[in-house]
Amino acid sequence: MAGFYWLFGEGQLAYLLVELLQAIVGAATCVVLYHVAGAILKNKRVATLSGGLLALYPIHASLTIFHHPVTIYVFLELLSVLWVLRLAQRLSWRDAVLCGCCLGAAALADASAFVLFPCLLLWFFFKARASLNTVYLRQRRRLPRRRAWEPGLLGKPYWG
Amino acid sequence: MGLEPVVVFALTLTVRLAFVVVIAHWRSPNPTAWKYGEIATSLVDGKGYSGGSWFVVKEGPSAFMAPFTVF
Repeated sequence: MAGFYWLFGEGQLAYLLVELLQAIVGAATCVVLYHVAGAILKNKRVATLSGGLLALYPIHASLTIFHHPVTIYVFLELLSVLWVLRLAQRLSWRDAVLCGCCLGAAALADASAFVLFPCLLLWFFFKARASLNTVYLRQRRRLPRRRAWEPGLLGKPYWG
Repeated sequence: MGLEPVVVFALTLTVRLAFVVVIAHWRSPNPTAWKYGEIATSLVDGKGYSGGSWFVVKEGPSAFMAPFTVF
């Protein structure tokens, strides 16, 4: 808001631009919801229905004209849920960093994002236990190979 | 990725833009920005991240509103 006010002066043009930006963010929210529903239910029809229902939901549409963080907050929260879902399927640093960035930005948009943090964390550790175990086992398998030179260096048998 | 996300995006954007255009005819000239608008105005006026509190003090540094929307 301050950026638009500074660029265009506080007036109808700045207000309109803020609302246009919120309309685009609202539209992007529906697309993110489509992907979240698709990732959870693995059904394209249900995903499209979810996105369509949010698109026509009057309260979400009415939020476009209020200069309030709820539009961007919902978008960031949904985006972080999408990254967590992807992270639970396949662990990667990129997804983890993106998820952290989204959650951080959501917390800067509205402090109620802090309620979501422990819920997402708990869900992730229960859901992604298999993936985490795989990573742990892979590291354990690597361990003896990495430490194989140590007994020679210390002059004692490996099992000593 | 199929065509569905594009359709969803287009539908949502159309509904929201229609909302902005229709509502703009009968709402007051200033939109409802609550305290976020006040803090944004303070920033532009060079008063820093101030104002926006509705009790105790009316002016001075504020920690009532989250900064993402204000900036």
